[in-house]
Amino acid sequence: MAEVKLENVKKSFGEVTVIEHLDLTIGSGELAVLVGPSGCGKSTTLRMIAGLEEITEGTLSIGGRVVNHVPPKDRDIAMVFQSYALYPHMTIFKNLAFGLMLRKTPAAEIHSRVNDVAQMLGLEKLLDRKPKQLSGGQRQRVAMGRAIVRRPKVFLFDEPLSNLDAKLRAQMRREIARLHREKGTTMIYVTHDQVEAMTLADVIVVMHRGRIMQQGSPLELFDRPANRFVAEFIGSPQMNILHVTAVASGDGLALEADGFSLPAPGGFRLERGQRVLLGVRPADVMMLGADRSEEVAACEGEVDVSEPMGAEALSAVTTPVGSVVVREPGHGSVALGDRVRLGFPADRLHLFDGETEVSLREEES
Amino acid sequence: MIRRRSPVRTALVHALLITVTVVTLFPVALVVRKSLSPGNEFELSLNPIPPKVTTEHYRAVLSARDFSGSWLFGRQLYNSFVVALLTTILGVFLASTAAYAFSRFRFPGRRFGMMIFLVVQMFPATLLMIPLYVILDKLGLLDTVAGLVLVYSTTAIPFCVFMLKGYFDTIPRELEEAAWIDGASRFGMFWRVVLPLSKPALAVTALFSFMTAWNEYILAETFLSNEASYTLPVMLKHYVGDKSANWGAFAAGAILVSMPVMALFYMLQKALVSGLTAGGVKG
Repeated sequence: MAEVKLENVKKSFGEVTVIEHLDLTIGSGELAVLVGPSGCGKSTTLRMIAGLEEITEGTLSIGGRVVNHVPPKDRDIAMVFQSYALYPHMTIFKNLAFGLMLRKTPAAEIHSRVNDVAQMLGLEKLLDRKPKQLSGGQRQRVAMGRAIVRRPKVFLFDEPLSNLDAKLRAQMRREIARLHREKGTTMIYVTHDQVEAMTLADVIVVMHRGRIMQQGSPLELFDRPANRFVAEFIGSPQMNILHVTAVASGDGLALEADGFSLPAPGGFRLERGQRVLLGVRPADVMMLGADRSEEVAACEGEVDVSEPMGAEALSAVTTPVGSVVVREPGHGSVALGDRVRLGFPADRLHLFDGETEVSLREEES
Repeated sequence: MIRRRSPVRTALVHALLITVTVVTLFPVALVVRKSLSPGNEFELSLNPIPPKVTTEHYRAVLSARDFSGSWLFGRQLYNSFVVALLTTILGVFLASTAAYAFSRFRFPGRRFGMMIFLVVQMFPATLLMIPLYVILDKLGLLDTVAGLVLVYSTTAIPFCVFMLKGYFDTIPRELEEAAWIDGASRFGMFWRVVLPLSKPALAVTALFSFMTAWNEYILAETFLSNEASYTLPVMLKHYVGDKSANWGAFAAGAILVSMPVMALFYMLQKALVSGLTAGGVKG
C-alpha cells in the first residue's frame, strides 16, 4: 500500500512537450483510472510512474519516497501491458515466476506463491503451456498473475482489456474490481474506455492534451463535470451541447437562441449577454407528448434518426439549435419524422462558458 | 484454407523443381564420379557414372602424412574446425551484442556505424589481402589460428550485425520493459529475453560465420605457409599444383570437406527457414 504523488511533472520528447505541470495524488489503496482520448498523455504518465520513461521535470514519489531516479525494478511496482508482454519462450509457470526468480526468492516460496496465484486466476492446468497455446482471455490472466505474484505496492495497468472481446472484457473488469477489493493495493489503470473508468474507479482522472481536465469520483464527474471536455467524454451517449446566449427575461435571465428559449436554471454564475454552452444528457431530455401539453417546451423539432434497442430507444431530433439526442426507456414514444416538443428539466442542466468552456456552476459551500 | 491446385499446375511446378535439382546436382555428381574413378587426370566426360569404382583417392587424402610422419589430414581438419568454431563464437558474440545496441540504443554515430558495416561489404576479400597481411605480420599472427580467426571475423561480423539487428527490431520492446519491471538488468533483458527469442536468427548467423571460415581459401592461402597450419581448402588446392595435378584426390577431398557443412545445414534447416523468412517479412 502506498500513495503515489506527482508534483509539477513535465515530460518532453526532444522538442515536443507531451505533459505539462501535472499535479496528481493517488491515495493509498485507491483505484485511480486515467482516462482520455489517445495521445492525451495518460500512458506516458503511467510509464513515468513505472520508470519506463524518464521524468523531464518535477518529482514523483511512491510511498513517500522520491523515485525519479530509481530503476523500475526497485520501485516495488508491477505492470500489466496492453499486449500482455508474456515471454513467448517460457512456460506459464516460468512467466509467473520470472520476477521472483530474478529476485532470488527461495524455490519453495516461488512454487507456493505461483500456485496460489494460478489457483486464484484459474490457471492451474495451464502452467506447463507456452503463451501461444493460450486464448486471449487466458493470456490476460497470466499477465495479471505475473503482476499479482510479485505482491507490489502499486499495480499499474496499461489498457489491459482492450484486446479482449466485449464479454470477456466485462468479466475481467469484474475480476480486477474483485482483486482490488481483496488486496486493497493502490492501482493505477489507464484506459480510453469511459465505461471501464466509470465501473472500476474510486477516482477518475480525465486527461486531455497532457493536462488533467478533472479529477473526482465517477458520479462527481458525471453529475458535475468541470468543463465541456469532461461533460462530453463521460457518459454514453454523449451529452448534448447547445450554443445559447444569456438574456434578460422578467426579473431574471433566460437562455435563448433562434427558436429556443429556457429560463436560466439556478446555481450558475451568469451574466447578461454571456455566450453559454448548454449541456444536457440524452436521458434527461424530455419528449413532451400530447399528454404533457401543459408543460413549456424549450424548443421543437423533427425526429431525424430513431434507434430502438429494446430496453431503451435513442432518437436524434433536429431543432433550430442543432441536433439533440434523446434517450427514452423501453421502446420510446416517437417515430421517424414526428414533430416533437423537447423539455429541459432545470435541475439536470450543465452550463459552460462559451469562451473558456469551463463550468459556470456555483461552488457548493 | 488450403487452395487446391490444378494437376497441370502441379506438374509444371514439379517439372521446374526437378530441372533445378538436376542442374544443381549435376556438377556435384561429376565430382563424385571423379573421386570414385581410378586415375589422376582431368576428365571431360559428362557421364556422371564412374567407369570403375575405387576408394583409393579417399584413402590417399585421409592418410596423407608429412615428412616427419604426422597425420596431415587430421591436423588440417583440426585447424579448419578450430578456426571455423572460434570465428563462429567470436562472430555471434560480438555481432549479437553490437546488433542489440544498434537496435535498442540511440547514440551518436549509430546511423553512420550501420552505414560503415554496409559499405565494407562492398570490398572483395582480395582487396583486403595486402593490408590484412601487413597487419597480421606486425601483430606476429601470420601462420596462426588466431590470425585467421581475426581476419574471418572482420568479414563475417558486419553481415551478422545486419542480420541480427533486423531480427531484434521485430521483437516487441514491451517484453524487455516487462522484464525490466520484473527485475532484470539490461544484460538480463538481452540474455534471458531477447537472445532466447532470436534462436532462428542466431542459427543463421552462426552458420554463415562457420561457412565463411570453413570454405575460405584466398586469405588462408596467403596467410598460411606451413603445411601443418593449413586449413582444408588450402590443402585441397595443393593437390592441383603447377607441376603435378591429382584431380582424383582433389575431388575426393572436396567431397570430404563439404560433408560437415552439409550435415550442419541439414541439422539447422528448420531454424534457417524461419530465420531467413522472419528477417524478410519486416523488409
